[in-house]
Amino acid sequence: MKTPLLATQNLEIGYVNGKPAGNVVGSNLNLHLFQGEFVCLVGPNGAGKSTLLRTLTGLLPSLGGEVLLGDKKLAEFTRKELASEISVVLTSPIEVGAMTVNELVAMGRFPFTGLFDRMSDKDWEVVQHSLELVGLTGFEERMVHKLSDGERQKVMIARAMAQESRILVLDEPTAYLDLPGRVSVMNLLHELSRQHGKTVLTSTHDLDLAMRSADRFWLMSPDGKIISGAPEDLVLSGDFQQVFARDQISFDVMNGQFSVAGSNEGAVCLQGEGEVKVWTERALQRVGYSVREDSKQCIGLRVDIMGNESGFVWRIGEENLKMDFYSLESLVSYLRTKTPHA
Amino acid sequence: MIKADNNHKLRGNRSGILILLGVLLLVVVALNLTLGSVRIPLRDIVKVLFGQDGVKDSWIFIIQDYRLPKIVTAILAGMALGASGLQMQTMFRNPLADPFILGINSGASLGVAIAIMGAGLAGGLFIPALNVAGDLGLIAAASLGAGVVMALILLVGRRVNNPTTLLILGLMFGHATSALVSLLIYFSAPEKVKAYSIWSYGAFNGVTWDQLQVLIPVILLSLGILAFLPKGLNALLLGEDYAKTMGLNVTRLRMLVLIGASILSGAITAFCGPIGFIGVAVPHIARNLFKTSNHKLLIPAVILIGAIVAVAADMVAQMPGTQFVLPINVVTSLFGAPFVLWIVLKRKRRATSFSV
Amino acid sequence: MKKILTLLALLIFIFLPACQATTEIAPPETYPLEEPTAAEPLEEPDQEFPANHQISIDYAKNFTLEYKDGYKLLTVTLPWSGATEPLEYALVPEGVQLNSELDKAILIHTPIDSFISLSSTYLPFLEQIDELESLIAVDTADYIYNTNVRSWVEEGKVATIGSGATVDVERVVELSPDLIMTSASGSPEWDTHPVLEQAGLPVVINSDYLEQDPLGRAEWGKFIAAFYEKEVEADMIFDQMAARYEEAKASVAEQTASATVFVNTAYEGTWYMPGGESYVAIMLRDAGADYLWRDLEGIGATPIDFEVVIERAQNADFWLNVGFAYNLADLAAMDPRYAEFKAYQEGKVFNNNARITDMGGTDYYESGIANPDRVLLDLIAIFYPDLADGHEMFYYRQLP
Repeated sequence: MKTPLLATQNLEIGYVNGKPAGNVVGSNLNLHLFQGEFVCLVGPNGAGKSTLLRTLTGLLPSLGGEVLLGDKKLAEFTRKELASEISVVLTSPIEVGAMTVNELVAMGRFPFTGLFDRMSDKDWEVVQHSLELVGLTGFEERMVHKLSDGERQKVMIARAMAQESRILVLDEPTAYLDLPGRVSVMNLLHELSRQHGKTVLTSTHDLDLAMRSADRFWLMSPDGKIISGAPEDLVLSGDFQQVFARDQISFDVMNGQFSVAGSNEGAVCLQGEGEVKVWTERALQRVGYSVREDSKQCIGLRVDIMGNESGFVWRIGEENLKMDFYSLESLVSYLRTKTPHA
Repeated sequence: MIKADNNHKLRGNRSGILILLGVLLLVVVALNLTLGSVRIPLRDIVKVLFGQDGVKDSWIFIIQDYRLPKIVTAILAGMALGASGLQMQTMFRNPLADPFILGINSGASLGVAIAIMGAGLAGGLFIPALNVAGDLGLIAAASLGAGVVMALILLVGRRVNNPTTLLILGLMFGHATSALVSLLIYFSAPEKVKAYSIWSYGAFNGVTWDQLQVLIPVILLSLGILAFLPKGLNALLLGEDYAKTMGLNVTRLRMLVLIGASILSGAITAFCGPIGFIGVAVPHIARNLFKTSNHKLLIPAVILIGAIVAVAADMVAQMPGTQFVLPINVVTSLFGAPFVLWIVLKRKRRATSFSV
Repeated sequence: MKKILTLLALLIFIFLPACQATTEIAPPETYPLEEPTAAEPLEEPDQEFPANHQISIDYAKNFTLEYKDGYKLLTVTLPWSGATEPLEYALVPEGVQLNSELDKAILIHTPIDSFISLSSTYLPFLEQIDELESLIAVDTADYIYNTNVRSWVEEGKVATIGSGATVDVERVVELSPDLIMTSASGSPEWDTHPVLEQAGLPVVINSDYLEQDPLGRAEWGKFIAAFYEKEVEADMIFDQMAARYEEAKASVAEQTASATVFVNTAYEGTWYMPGGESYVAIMLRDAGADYLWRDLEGIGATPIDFEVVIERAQNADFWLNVGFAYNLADLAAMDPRYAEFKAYQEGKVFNNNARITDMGGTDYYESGIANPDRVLLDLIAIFYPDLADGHEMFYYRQLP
């Protein structure tokens, strides 16, 4: 068993509020972070993810227990020493005017540049390299406030990379990004750990993306408990669903999706193959039908998919009625008219 | 002071602009020296500067004991207020912050108000020796007032984590002291109120050479603190959280900024009276001129630009050719107010000015 | 670390002014805290006039006295600077029935028995006509020079009621004066009289300070005396005083080599010079001196640049009215640049604080108003010591 890079022992996190115990957000936390891992901290809003991350990075004092880096307690590090161990990316894209990408990324070298911030050649090489890592070569002289949000977050990641710390901690870095932005950031983080040996810990709401790229999850429930494991294990064990359970929302283990429990209009037998079948199923589920495999015993409504990529046809068969539809939209709106309350 | 970092940072034209600013400062100083209420030919001015003979006594006196200390004071004030304003704007990430945002100014005003108006109320404390028109008493009173507010700010600044909280507290100190001043005004005779008003107009020409013996080292030392701060101030642009994770001791940085900026603005107010708008406008001029938020460049820039603006304002206030004199604050406000308006309107385009 | 820094910062502030190389201002002990003496009129009135003798107002421009059927009409033509309407007071003797309507005039029954004074300049006039004892209240005793009044205030025989919007109205109502006399500025925030008038009290506005002619200002003694039906007496005193004034003025009218003089001190680097038509300027002119800013328009104090003053007045013979300075060291402490003036170097600096109380009240601004002849004689003694004829300076003194 390797020694963890970062570990917590009976950690208690929360806020001081005048009461002796404070406002406890999570307690009895025993977590481990190993070299080269990509760990995602997930959980519903308000569970305390930010609090945990701020405590681990030394921005918030703990209420009890210990955080250890290697075998040294967090409190024993000076800020500068800590900067070489952990670097951080926060949620909101920085709003600073009149700064070039180079200047901003160069700030990652602060722990190393001395009182007057003299940058050596090596420092500039690190900056250059960091930009390459995040795929922003050529952006050096661009003004930060003129970049898109996604590019800006990448610049902040580059800055964190330039700090050459062993651990990179991010707090919902994709919150303000559009979908392509999110995908590209999560991919980047995955790559940094996989190909460049960085240890990455990030909190995120992009469960889908996270599940596809994280080595482990730290699943945080609203009562402040954390269960850690591979994402798939957590799904199969049911822990995942439990943490995210809400009325009206359920997690479909089969296809890894959250779905809103809608009205149940009944069952439909579906016959078809490939992509079109998958998406037809989704459309039918969207209006409240459950889909059964086509079999000889199909009674009631059935849908057959015919045709090919140049044009599909959906045929509804019901008792002795047959109707053809040329788009899922028309199929679905027909089904809606059948059910008065759909 | 500028690091010509590798192949990236300092493009040729930026250092060129700085040199140009230096030249501009010399030009403005020369103009100020030449233009005054009394017409003195340039030839004679040069003679006096080089210690040569053959110039009327009163002219020698005017140049040496009046215009030169006035210009030196203006330069010091411009440098101090520009630097202080820049630090306040960065620390509070607010483009409208000025050197007096923490109430230092109000503290000084309260000290002066008590000295001028409070004595009468205390009934019997009035000592003719504490001459209202004099210097010693007023400077001491203003320094004391500013010092008290500064001490309060520092005490609070150590405990409070959030700069916004500090800002609000500073504003509240400012309001409280202003209220006390108003109270004094309400109960005082018109002549005293007039004397207080005159102090609050601000003046560079009331400072003599021996007063400068104190002011010069104080300002230069406080500006010297700034030499160690560009790195920290740059980090603060990203916010205190990022600054901490980059290894900066944010509390120490905050203390240094507060002390430095407070001494700068407090000392100037004590010696010259409150001078507005230079502190808020000069950092923006600097940012727009150099198109950067990098304090390594901004700090020398605001020092130069501040000096230029102050000396120019003084020149305008002198109303050359006439024997009349405008208060400095009138001149700075006349030019400052439209400028601030312009900044606020320009923010919409999120151009190169500092955005929060 | 932080504590040390904080302490350092505090220390810097507190010792900032202490590091100054300038000399200390002289402590109050050097002031002559001798008992101030009352200014006595130089001669007693010795003429008798018939009871209905009518007097004229010859120098004052801001008030008129008209004799109407059965009463006197006092009109203050300029109650305050910028006033558009005059104020009229009908002085009706007790027991007289009026035949005519009074219009806008305010009715005051004469002679009055009690008087509240909100300016110390009225007191010497009261004393001249022997009515000082009718005083029942003043605004504040702080700057009054008159010893009698000061001791009455201490004994509680004369009350202090403040001034401005915060005047103690209730106390005034309780005192029930026959007359309250005050100046006004026309701005309700500063003035006392609106508050008092609202309470139904008898207020009379006196604008003597707006008179620039020294004799005109002194003539307001007749204004005050009229309320006591003693204007004839006041007139006689005034005539004697005016004669002395004119005599003194004539004695220096022939002087060809006029002494040059400038006045006041700088404040925050700017000098406030009185205009060429101001009270001070007229006095200096009548004393035969050459006031270096007599070309300055207006009467008020104009802000003049320090360097202009140096340029024009560096070689002036005399320097007068130097604020609160008591000796030359005081001046130097105020601003070391004052030592550049020839008048300073030759010790020809004079101030009007020869008669001063420990609170800073000067008699120059009190009885000096009623006795401009004395002031003029002082000035002549300064500029032309040979013509002084043994006159001892009364209001002015030379700065040691």
